[in-house]
Amino acid sequence: MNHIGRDINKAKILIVDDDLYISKIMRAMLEAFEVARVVMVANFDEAIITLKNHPFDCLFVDNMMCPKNGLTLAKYIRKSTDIKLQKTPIILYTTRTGLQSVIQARDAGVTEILTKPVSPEQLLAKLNNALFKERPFIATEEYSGPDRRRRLSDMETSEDRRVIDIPLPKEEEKIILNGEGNP
Amino acid sequence: MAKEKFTQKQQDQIRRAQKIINDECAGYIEILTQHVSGLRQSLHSKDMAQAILICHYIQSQAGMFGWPLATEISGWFKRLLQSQQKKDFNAQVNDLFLESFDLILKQELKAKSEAAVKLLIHIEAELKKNAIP
Repeated sequence: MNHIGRDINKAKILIVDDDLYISKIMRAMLEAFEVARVVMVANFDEAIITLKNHPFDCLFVDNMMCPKNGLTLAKYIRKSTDIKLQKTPIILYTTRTGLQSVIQARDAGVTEILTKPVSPEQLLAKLNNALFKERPFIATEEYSGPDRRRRLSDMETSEDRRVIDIPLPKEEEKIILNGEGNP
Repeated sequence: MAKEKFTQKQQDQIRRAQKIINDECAGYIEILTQHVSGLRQSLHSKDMAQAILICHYIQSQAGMFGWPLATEISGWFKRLLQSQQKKDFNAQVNDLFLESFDLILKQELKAKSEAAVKLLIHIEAELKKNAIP
């Protein structure tokens, strides 16, 4: 369990979005959930500088940022040599929900995908998942991020969930089966 | 996704957050109108960087407030304007997109509807006619 335990009120969150209007709305919603602190930055470079100096419990990242998008930021963070930063949960918010987009986000090491229009229920559920339902962290040459397969226990609680079985790269399959990569 | 069970406190927080979204949604049509007006001015003065930036904001914001058609069209338009930065300015096609935004605003076309589908088919046909990929 992370250092904030089960308490969302202790969570420090970084929003990375080049649209200040959207950032402010996301912040207002997170403040409605009484998180401890919300910081906003406008792009990839600001995010990297901020993250070097301040640890956060979770990142909310817009996928559509310019010039470097949210997936680029997620990949960069997952390759970081700072282990704490590397494992920080990333919630990507996006209008793109097609299978290909979901796979791209998953392969970039994104923890959760939040689809626009954002509903407060969805936001809280994804934040709870990211903070409190930690998945084993996988670090290989080809993939770095939370285990791309959800635990069976998560699946079982999802009565109406559609499970898309996408084969994993062999290296990752081996690591999961051997129980390696778990924190 | 499975339905989450929220505590009473969380349900109260959700209601507060929902009010924030509802208030913004109600006023978004005015912001979208301002964006389209700004887009028209930028194109008139051939300020492509500004036009692309406005399209980017529409694409980002409209999706957030339940105007997916505006999101889709602004995404197309942004890519088109980016290609026009490198090639030739095409006023005829740009006007088509501005008219589309006007129609979206006038009829409050937010999602999948007969009018929305007609609009998309119209844009696609015009783009083909103008040999825009």
